[in-house]
This record gives sequence, C-alpha cells and structure tokens, in this order.
Amino acid sequence: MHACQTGKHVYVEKPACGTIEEGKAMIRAARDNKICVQVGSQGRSQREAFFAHQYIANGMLGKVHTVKCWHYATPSDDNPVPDSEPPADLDWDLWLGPLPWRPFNQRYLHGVFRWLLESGGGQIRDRGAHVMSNALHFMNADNTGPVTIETKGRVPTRGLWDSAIEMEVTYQFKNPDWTLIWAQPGEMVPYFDRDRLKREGIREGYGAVYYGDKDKLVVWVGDGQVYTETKALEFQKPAGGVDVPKSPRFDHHEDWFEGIKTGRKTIMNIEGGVATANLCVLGNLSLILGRKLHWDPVKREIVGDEAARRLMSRPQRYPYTL
Amino acid sequence: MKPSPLPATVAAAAATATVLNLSARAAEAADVNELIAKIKSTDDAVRGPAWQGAGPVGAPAVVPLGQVMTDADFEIARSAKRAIERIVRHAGRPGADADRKAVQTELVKLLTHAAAPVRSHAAWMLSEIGDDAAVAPLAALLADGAVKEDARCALERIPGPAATRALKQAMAGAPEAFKYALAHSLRVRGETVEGYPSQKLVPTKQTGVKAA
Repeated sequence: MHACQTGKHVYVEKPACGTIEEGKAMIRAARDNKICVQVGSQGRSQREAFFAHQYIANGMLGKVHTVKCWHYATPSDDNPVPDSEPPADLDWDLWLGPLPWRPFNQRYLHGVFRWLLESGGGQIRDRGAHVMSNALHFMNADNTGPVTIETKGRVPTRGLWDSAIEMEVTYQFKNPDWTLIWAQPGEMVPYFDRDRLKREGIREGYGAVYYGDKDKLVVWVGDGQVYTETKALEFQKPAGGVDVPKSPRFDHHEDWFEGIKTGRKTIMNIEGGVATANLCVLGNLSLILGRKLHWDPVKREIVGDEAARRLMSRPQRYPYTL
Repeated sequence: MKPSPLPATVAAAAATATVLNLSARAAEAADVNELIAKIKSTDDAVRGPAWQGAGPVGAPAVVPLGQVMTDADFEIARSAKRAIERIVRHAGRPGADADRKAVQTELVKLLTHAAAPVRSHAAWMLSEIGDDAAVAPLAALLADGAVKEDARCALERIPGPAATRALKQAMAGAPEAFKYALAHSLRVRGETVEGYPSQKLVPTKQTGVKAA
C-alpha cells in the first residue's frame, strides 16, 4: 500500500491480503494512485492455463456448474515444544509485525508459519491462492464472489499449528450460478502422462476439475506449473470465438511489465488477487466460527453476522499498522 | 389488606421452576467440571475433542478455563485457550445475544486475572463479541504495561461511541509514546486526531529517492 502511495508499481506475493479489509485498502491504494499491480499467483500466465481458459471460455464444457479443487492435507504439529527465547539473530518483534505479541516458539518458523491461521492459514491460503485464482480467472469471476461460504473441517488436537488438516469449503456463486469446492484432500486425479510427470516433476497433488453440462476438464497444479488435458491443448478457437487474456511469452513478470508500459490490467491484477485471497480468508473464517457465512460480493463484506463481520479486519500491533 | 395467598397451582409451578433451575445449574456445573477434567488430560485424544467441542458449554466454563490457561503443561494451557475461543465464537452466532452477553460477563472477569496472557486473551476475545459493557474494563487495561496494546486493539474493534470515548479519554493521560498507538486506533474508527502521525511513515533517514 505504501509503495502504491509513492507511485511505485507493485508485484505482490500471494495471498494478496490477510483480511477482508486489507484487501479493500489494497484495491483503493492501487486505484487511487493509478499504479499497476501484479499478484504472484502466476498460474494464470502459464501456457496450459491459457489453453484451459480458452477451452472453457469457448463453451467446450457447456455451462460450467461446479469446480472441484483437490489438495493434499495441511500438516499437523506432531512435535509440540514449549515457548522459548528467540534465537539471537532473529528480531522476533519484527517477525511478528502486526500480529498480537506472544512469546517465541520454534514451531512458528521458518516455512511452517503457513500452518498457523494468523500468519499463514493452511493449504487453502497457500495453494488455494493459486488453484482458486485459476478458477476465478477461467470462470470470469474476478469481479464477483460467492454469496455463501460453508466449511467443514478437522483441526489438529494438539500442537501450535491450528489450520485445518482436512477441510471442504463450498462457495456458492449467483448470477451466474456455480459452485466452487475447495477440498483437502479431495479427489485427486492422477496426471495422465506418467513419463512427463516424472520428467518434469509435475506436482499432481493439487488441481481442479471443471464440470460443465456437456463435458469436464482437469487442470493440474496451478502455480508455476499448470497442466491440462490434450483436448484443450489441441483445441482451435473458431473464427469469432472468445479471446482470453494471454501473458507475453506466458511469463507473469512480462505481463506485469506490459501492464506498466501500457496501463492495461495485468492478468492477476489486485482485484483478482483480493477476490482470490478473500475466498481463502472466508473459508477459514467459516471454519473457526463453525457456521455458514453470507457474503455480499459487491460490497465485499459479510452480512447478517456481527461477530463474523468483526473478523473482516484485525487490529494491528503498533507501529506495524496500515 | 392482606395479600391473597397464591393459588396452589401457581405455588406448585413456582416450586417446579425452582427445582428445574437448580437441576439446570447442577447439570451446567457437571458439564463444566467434565470439560475442565478433560482439558487437563495429558492425552490429546481426550483433551483435543474436549476443547474442540467446548462451544456449547458456554459462559460458566470461561473463568475456570482462564485458570487452566496458566497450567504448567503448555499443551493443556493451549487447549484451555482454544476452548475459550470455541465458546466465544459459538456465543457470537446470530440470534444468541443472551449467550454472547453471558460470555462477555465472564471474559470481563478474566481482564483482572493475575496472569498477563489470560488478560491478553480475554481482551482479544472481547474484541470479537464485546459491547459497551466491556469498554470500561478494557479501558482500565490501557494503563497495564503488559497488555495495553491488546486492550487498545480490542477497543479499536468494538463498535460504538463508548469505545471511541474511552480511546479519546486515554489519549489525555497516556504516556507520549503510547499516544501514537491510541491516535492510530481513533483514526481507524474515523476520528480526526491532531498530531501523532504514524511512526511507520515518519522518515528516519535521508534518502536520495525522489517522490513520484
């Protein structure tokens, strides 16, 4: 946000925001300062993502009514340890930043911060920010959002990490009506070309199936790797068919540079980034509150639930504030 | 004029209600005791489902769980903390205002607990479901060195003019360094505050980078 305020174009890692209100503030900062933002859900720029998108947008699946994501489970902290003094070379206060202060614990870092709701949010916020980014992109839904969110899940019984090990989040979209399901572990579809899988190290442990009333399409992985079925790769767009966005040389950074030069929207602009991050945030909020949430996708706010609405933002520890 | 005696049916109904009330309280106490016993288990297969299912046990369990938060076994203490979270989020559900207020009353009691982590957690929990009744007890913690940031954050989140007034009043007497944080909270709530700019945006060194 502060970079936007100084007029700098921004490449921001996913997930774009940690709370609903942070996302709104990021969108305002980008718009008010007329700067170009690219969010690091780079799946949208990948070659096979383009072909999958083109296939779906040109009606080859018919009306898409359901998108089911799969992803392996979030790990649990099977070796809990008591709080301790932080290492001498770690600025614990800075590491915590805006989070409420608490004593250091070895199980906060390094990469495992992902498995805490406050600092990470589990697989749904880590990889959901890739897989569901593609879903919103392919469904042309960056500027919409679900109207209800309902999560079922299993959280660890011990340890510091509190993100759901397994979870299923159902997002119901309206006008057009479709359902997005984030499922850990869900129903993994093995990648069809086992030689290529070994050769390229394809991570088939996450992806999504797009179900239409005529056919279905599998899209594997979703981040720096995206793979889809041969029928989409071989599809020839007919004359007058639907054009879909394409990053120059299928390169996410190139797309950002072009956005800076021309002023056009990047393929993963801040609105798309926030829409995706909101899915992840709302899935976790429904889980911790233990109830279905109702969402106004135009105002980007929870409706009819005062306690849930308060969790759209999180007061920040001074001076790590927006 | 002497009051007429209660009809026998009314007296019987009152007696039944008293018995039912006592029975309900006994059942409530049994639920709390059972929950606390399970939370204190060193077996996470017992303790885990207990804290995860604590929500409906509600307000009567809050203060006992606050005490368990100080248990020497860090996993037991953590489970008690999470049980309180479950209770708060269950009580905050739409249409359960009586539950929410009852839990709030118990959380306010924890704001004066001897252990700072308990006071801190109670403040954050009140940020989720507290109303005007929590404002004064939270405002009192703005002078508590160990948890004043938690209290400020909680007041920042609780809607309504009472919380705004409390933050403004605290500005008058707070140490200079803390006034910046209080000013931030007031601005988040839409108030205009003279001076005390965000310290994050105050330059601390010379730069050759030109503004856009």
